[in-house]
Amino acid sequence: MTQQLSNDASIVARLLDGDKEGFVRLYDEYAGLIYGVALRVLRNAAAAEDVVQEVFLQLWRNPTSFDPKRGRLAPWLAVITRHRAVDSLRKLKFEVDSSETPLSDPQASHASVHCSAESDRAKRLMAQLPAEQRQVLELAFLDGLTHVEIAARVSQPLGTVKSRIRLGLLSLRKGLSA
Amino acid sequence: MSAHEQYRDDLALYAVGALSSEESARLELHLAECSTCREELNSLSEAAAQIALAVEPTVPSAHFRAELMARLEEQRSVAVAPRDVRLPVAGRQYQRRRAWFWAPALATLAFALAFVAVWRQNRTLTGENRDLAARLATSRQTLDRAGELIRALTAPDAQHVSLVAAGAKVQPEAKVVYSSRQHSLVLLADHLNPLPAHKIYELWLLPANGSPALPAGTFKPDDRGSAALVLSQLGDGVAAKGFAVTVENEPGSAVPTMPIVLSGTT
Repeated sequence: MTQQLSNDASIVARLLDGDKEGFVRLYDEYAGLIYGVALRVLRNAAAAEDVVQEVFLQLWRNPTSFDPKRGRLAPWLAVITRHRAVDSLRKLKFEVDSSETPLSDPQASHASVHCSAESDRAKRLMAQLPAEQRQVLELAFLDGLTHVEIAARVSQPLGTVKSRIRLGLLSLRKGLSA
Repeated sequence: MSAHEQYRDDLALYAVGALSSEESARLELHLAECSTCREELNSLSEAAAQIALAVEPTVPSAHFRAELMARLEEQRSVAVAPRDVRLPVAGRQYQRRRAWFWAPALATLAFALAFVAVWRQNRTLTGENRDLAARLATSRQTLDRAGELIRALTAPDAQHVSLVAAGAKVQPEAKVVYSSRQHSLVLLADHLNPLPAHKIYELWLLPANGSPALPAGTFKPDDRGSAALVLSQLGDGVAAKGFAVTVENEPGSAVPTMPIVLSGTT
């Protein structure tokens, strides 16, 4: 983790220096993660590319928007990408065409070393959750639904949805600290 | 130390972005004052990040990569042009050979240019600072006035006095002030009947375009039957033709349950 912290800090330092090579490495390492999240939320390649561009240009223009002392780069990128994608989803309100984006794209390649290590652990933690907890977490975080909308979608009382979300998050947190 | 029990579920919902904007605004008021809940939220947010990290990575096309890198060059040339200017190799050698001759003049010129640049930048910044300070002062005054109003409306000792025709029987009543442009709503209610356990009053906005009623907040009366609801980030600026209040199961409903206990049109 210390090694990771220093990698993240050195990426920021290189961007602060206007180092384009550093940016290219950053892109090659994290573009898969960022595009994957944006595509999952928006289910539209062009809109997802817009989000990817915004995220990378934000980091290029203002590298200090990421603070290595407050967390690791991969989760931070995943979360800001999710927020931007959900904002975009709510603004555009375009027709969701789930056929446009295969969620398990056979052409998709994994991002490189430490990004995929983080990704693998997250996948393992999510896979360990009961299906009904995983479902509500994804409906909230990746489909941008409120708890009221989720309750209607899964035909469950609000209280059940709230407790599934909370229990799911607590399990993820426990898994992170294990 | 655990977070406040009554915010336990909301913190988890907030971490995954599942609260409505009104609910988020209410929680944020509490978060601004409670470091314990902020810490709890931070750790839940870290857990929530795993949901996004678990998404299968997908590499964008090579064409997109090339376009982004080109865009980067444009941004870079605007942002850091002086650092990137490079003369061709022969030119640089020539410049080095003759540098001693031009050095004093170039130094003077460079100093003058730098001085002018700094002076202009300083003048611009001073102007911007003055402008920002003025806007900040105005915002603070507005915020102070809004804060005073909200504190007065929601103070535990606030006395709500309804004036009715002499001899008329006092009935449950509520007043709503709503601005679709400002996304804000104030409700003041009095003489409300006490609620059964696990029930709550819910306010509904009746859209002018005839679409279904929208939930506009929940409230419980105090022991004198009074309640106040102040929302500053309500919905998408929907024009209202009226409002209604129903009694719902806690924590509130997505659709109104009959009967309507209070209603009014604009």
